[in-house]
Amino acid sequence: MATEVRNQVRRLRFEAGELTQQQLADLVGATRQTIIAIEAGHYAPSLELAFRIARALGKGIEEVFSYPAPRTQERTPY
Amino acid sequence: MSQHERISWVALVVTGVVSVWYFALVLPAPGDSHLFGVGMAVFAFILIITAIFVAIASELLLRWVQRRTGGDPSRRDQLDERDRLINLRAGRNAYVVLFGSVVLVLGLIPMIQMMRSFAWPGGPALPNTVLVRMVTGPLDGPLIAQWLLLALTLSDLCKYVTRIVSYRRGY
Repeated sequence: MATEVRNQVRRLRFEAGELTQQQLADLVGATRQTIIAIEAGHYAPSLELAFRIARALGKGIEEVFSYPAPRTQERTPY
Repeated sequence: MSQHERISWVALVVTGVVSVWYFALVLPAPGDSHLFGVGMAVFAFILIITAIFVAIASELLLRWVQRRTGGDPSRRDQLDERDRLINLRAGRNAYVVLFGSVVLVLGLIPMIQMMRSFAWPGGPALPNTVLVRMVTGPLDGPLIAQWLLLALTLSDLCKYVTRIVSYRRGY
């Protein structure tokens, strides 16, 4: 079951000194399986965990997580 | 695979094997057999104790394997927010199954008895097994205990399956 929340955790992990999933998990107080699930888009973390991940990666939360804007329906003229 | 997922697999297998063994022995047994009544209660008690023992032993074995393979069991045992959410979902589903089973038993058995008395006055001859007695009633203490055991088992199985599916497919 995929989540709508997109993330750049995997890329940013490598940019932040090639952090391993376990190291990031230890930094943010989660399990490695949760980091794996987040990276795979199978789990949308809570706001608190999202902030902790962003802080651990040295980025702002919007650089790490994004939520696609809902597609607006085209209005048909009448 | 996380420690919690492994534990769920072990619990599912142990509960599944023990409950299938138990119900396969008890349900087709004659309703007035020695298995029914006090003997059955002792039998159920022994099975439950065995299931608990096997679950604890497998948990200890998993920890030992993890320690031997370089893992840190104390840290891996911690539940994070995803584990807690999965546990909550599993608990909710298990509660729904338990509640549904109880409602089904309370509603279904009186209904079957009523239909039987209307449709077949005197009633057709049914085999005298524990299963038939459980469905056709009237319910007495040991039969209610069997229903409760069945409901609790189904609810437990549902809990473990929900946990495993949530870990596998994502939450």
